[in-house]
Amino acid sequence: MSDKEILALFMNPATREKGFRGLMDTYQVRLYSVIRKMVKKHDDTNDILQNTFIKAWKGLSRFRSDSGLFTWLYRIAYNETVNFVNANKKHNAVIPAAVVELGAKQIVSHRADVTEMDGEQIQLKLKKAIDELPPKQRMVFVMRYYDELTYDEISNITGTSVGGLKASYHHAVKKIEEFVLND
Amino acid sequence: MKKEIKDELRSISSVLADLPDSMDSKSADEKYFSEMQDEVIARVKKPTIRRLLLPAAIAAAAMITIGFFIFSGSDVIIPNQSLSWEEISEDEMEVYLLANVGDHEYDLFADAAKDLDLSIDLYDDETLTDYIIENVDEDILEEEFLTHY
Repeated sequence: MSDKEILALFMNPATREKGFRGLMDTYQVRLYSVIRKMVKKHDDTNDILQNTFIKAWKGLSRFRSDSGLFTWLYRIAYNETVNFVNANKKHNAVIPAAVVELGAKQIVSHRADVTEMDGEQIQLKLKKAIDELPPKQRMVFVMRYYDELTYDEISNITGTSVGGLKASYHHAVKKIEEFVLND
Repeated sequence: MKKEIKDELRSISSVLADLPDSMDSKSADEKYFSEMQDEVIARVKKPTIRRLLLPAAIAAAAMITIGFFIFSGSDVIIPNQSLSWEEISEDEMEVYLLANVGDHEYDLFADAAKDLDLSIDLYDDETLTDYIIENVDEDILEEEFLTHY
């Protein structure tokens, strides 16, 4: 279903639910994947995804078509995820699953450096590295590296300048590299 | 990975740039998404009025009803039951708030909601209504309504 069709159905009270289900059908898999890369657990992903759609329901009637629906939804999901990470970091540090996989593959590719480490040590090492990444830096890395968004798109989502985003991405990559090779 | 992104990555870290492009994408099955949709729809349709503020909202609705009949010059007798707080449902109160929130001090509410973590384009009437119900002091809300009506 196209964005135009979704909005037309949603604006009509008689077809509002149909339009919103169309929106979820269209974007739920992609959004789930995006959020899941940023948080570790399915249950957390589910909470964030549901909150994202609920806020979308409340705001969709005022959606301005200057950006695509997905970018708008991504922005809501991003804010929800940042809030979740900030709220939970003191009690339950969140390790982005994608970065864990990245680190694991990196370690395998540099096996000579980590031959003395077992799986548990590797996980602890990764956790330490991820804990050092600020949430927003983590998000920028995921958006750029995995979702392959342009800096302009990321800027629309996060409200951060392109220059700031480039700096964040640079720092994130350097920290991951440094951790894998030298920590 | 797009060439532009790969080139940028290589300029920062050849180690990461040499990693395989494809990563396992986390997803869920169709049953999950179907159930998730049902939960979302159920949540957005759930009445959000809070019992704490119900009396103030009901009072406001009653005052509006009285005002309407007074200023319209109607000699219709209002049955006592129409002013009974117990007779007005929570759904009716939510409908009232949604219909009238825009007529009140919108800027005041927006200021009160400034700590609401939403982008400005999400400050719709439903969101503000939810926020008012949950956060605005009952006395302030009642005074706001009674001042206007």
